[in-house]
Amino acid sequence: MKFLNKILNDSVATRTSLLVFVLITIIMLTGGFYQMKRVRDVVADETNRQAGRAMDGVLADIDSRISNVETAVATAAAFADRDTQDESLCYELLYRLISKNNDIAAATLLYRDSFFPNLGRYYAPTVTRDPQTGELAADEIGGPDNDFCYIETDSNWIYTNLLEEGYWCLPYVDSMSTKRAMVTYSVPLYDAKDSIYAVLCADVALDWVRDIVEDAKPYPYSRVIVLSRDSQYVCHPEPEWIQSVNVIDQATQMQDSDFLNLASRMLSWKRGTDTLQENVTYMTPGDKAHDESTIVYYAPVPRVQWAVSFTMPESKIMEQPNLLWRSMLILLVVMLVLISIVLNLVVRAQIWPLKQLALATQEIAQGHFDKPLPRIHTRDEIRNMRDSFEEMQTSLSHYIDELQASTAAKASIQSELKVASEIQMSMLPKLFPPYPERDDIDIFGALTPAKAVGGDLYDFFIRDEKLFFCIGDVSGKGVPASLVMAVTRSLFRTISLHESQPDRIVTQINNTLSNQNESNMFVTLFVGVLDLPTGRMRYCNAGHDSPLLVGDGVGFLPCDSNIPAGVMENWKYTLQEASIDPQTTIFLYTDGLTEAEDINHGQFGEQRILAVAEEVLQAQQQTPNHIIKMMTTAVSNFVGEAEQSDDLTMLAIQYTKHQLAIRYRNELIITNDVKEVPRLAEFVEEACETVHFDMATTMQLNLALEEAVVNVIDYGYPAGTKGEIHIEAQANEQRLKFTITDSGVPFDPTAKEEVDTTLSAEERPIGGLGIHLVRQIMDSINYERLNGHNVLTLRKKI
Amino acid sequence: MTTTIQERDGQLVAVFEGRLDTAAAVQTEKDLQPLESCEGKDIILDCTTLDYISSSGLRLFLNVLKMAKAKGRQVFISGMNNDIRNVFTMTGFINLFELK
Repeated sequence: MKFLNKILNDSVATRTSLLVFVLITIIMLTGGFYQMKRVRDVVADETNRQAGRAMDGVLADIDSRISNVETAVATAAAFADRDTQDESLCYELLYRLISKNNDIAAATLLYRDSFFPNLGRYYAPTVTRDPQTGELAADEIGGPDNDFCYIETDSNWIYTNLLEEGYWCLPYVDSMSTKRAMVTYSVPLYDAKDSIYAVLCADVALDWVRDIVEDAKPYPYSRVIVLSRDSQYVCHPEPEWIQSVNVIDQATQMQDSDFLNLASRMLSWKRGTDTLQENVTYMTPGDKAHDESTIVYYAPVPRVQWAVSFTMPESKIMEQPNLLWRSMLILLVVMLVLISIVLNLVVRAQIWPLKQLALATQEIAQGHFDKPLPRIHTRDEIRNMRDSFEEMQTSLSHYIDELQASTAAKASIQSELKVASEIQMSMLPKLFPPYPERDDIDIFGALTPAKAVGGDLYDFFIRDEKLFFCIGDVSGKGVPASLVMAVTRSLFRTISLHESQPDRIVTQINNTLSNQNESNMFVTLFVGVLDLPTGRMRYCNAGHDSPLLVGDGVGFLPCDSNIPAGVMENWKYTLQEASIDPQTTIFLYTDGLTEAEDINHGQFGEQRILAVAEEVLQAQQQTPNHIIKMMTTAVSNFVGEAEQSDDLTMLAIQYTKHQLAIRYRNELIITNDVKEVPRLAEFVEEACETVHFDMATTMQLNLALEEAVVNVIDYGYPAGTKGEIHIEAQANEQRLKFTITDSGVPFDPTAKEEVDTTLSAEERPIGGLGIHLVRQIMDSINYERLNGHNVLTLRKKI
Repeated sequence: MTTTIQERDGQLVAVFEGRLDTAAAVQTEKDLQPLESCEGKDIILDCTTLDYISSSGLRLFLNVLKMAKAKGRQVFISGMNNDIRNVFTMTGFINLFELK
């Protein structure tokens, strides 16, 4: 079954061939059968006809021969009287009779007993013909041995006697001479008294019957059987059965009812055809015992009361048709095999392009989209399919190209986003602690963006002993927010280089952002400037959350809200001030903290922030690291499984300044006249000596101080105005500082831009060198405007 | 602070002595006027005996340099001590002048 399945499903060619083979076989066999049946019928008819004709011929032949004998004997009998009276003339009669009839084997006169008294009781002259030589021989066969002649015996003679006419006796075997099957025609001879005095007999050998019948049989394979009226075989293929077997007995013994019926019918002198289906050995001796269908044609010969039959084995009758059938079948098989093979090959050839197409398609499926499909030269369905495939291949190829391009683009965007995220993160100060060398400030910051890139920012740096710091939140998330964040941070850095007032820093940031703001993005911002020597913080809030102060208690820094930066140009931002005590931590954050959501959309809220701060303060652990760590943990626990909804940013700044003991103090007051400058030298030298600076350093400090003071002289007071400049020198164990105070116009020398010392002489502006030198020489310079005074502090570490 | 201008080997030499601070710079500016007529002559600023210079002094040196360059002449500096050299380095002036 599996094999069949395999054959049927594996190949179009095989399947087609097989189907065609089967169909043609069925059709042809059906046709063949029908035709064969017709042929058989025709043959049977013909056979019947032939048999019939043959039978007629035989019958006619037998009849004629027999009637010839009859006529000859009758004629001889009619004129017998002349010769029969004489015992030697009767031989003449016999000679005449026999010589004129070759069929007569012996002619005999049987006189009744003692007809010729001198010849004894029995007198039977006979003339016999030798079957081989044909010679005639006379003989006398009367005698007690030949008792068939006599009335006394139970023999034919009796019947002859009882008949008035000629009579054919039953066949018998001539026991006397030749042992041939014989039959005798006897005609009684009547004398004047009308009583029978002799019988004229003519013996007819039955060889010729067999010969006739043999010759006349319609087909060589037919068998002839002649039955006599006593159910004996007159003629039979088995010579021994002749005159020795009783057909009725035989049939009965065989228990062959069909044969019995046939014999009966024959012996009823019927004419017809029968089909027997049994073992016919007795009909066709010599063949092997087998059941065979045999057709029997039979007809009577009434003259002698015989029944003649031809037997024909159906197999013989149908031999030709069967051969024909067989050869037809062989031819059919050969033809079908050839057709199948040819068909197989032809279909294979037709299907071959499909196979090539399949192979090519497979290769395309491997990814070789450029593989060309095989050319097909016909314009049939296969060509159509190939063309469709080609279309599909082309569009698939394009599609794949597009897909690859878009995937590559997407991947490149992803990688660019990643890089952007890295860039953004690197823009934030992330090295903590950022100023380990300093003992007055401790800072820690943490930013967790919600997406790859975020819109929160914080920044800080120290310039001139001031800590500039800011925290901000750009409206929105993702790439747009991160771009604004980057811009804002850059602005903060750039502006703070020359601007120390937070409100002015914020104003400039605001103006720049508002100016370029087509997408209406804005930033909430808190900018603070913490003067590290004094703890004085100036700040400006632009719409941002108020920072928390954790030191002397926990509380929010009072902030004017103003408006976020980037909303409206030229908004007037307010400047605020506060004093930060040592050990206080300023805690800044964005609304990512207050609005952190749990899965029920509940918010973290200010209360929780305060609570954590309180807890931290209780433990006196309000260091920036610790505060942020506690806050992070608290938020994380609160948010739980929910997704982070906004950037989470925190910045903590702790002011840890310790006031050191002052070891030296001096002051000098000069007027704003350059001529006073030489007085500085001595002042500086003394201070430097106290802290054991070497000469080179002393000279440098001298230079720095001179430049700083000259700046004040040049710009501090309006031209022509006389003013005082107050210089103080102070040293603690860590540093020597000079504080230059004047009551002139507000002037921040630290706000001037750095001199570019790489410019050539032509490009170099004249001004700016002084402050540059001061910066180079001093460790830090710090400017404050206090109570209407400019206060410039120069510090040098010891 | 004294400033003297001499001529040596076809070059104008300005010798500085003392401290060139902002106060002294006023006078030194005047003292350097003769250098303006330096056609055909290079200028040497001799700082061997210069103890101190501040930004005003540097400004004067720069003026001399600009002026000489405009006339196609070169300006050299000689004899800087370490302190003075430091100041020139800090301000980048060390790159503007050739040393002799």
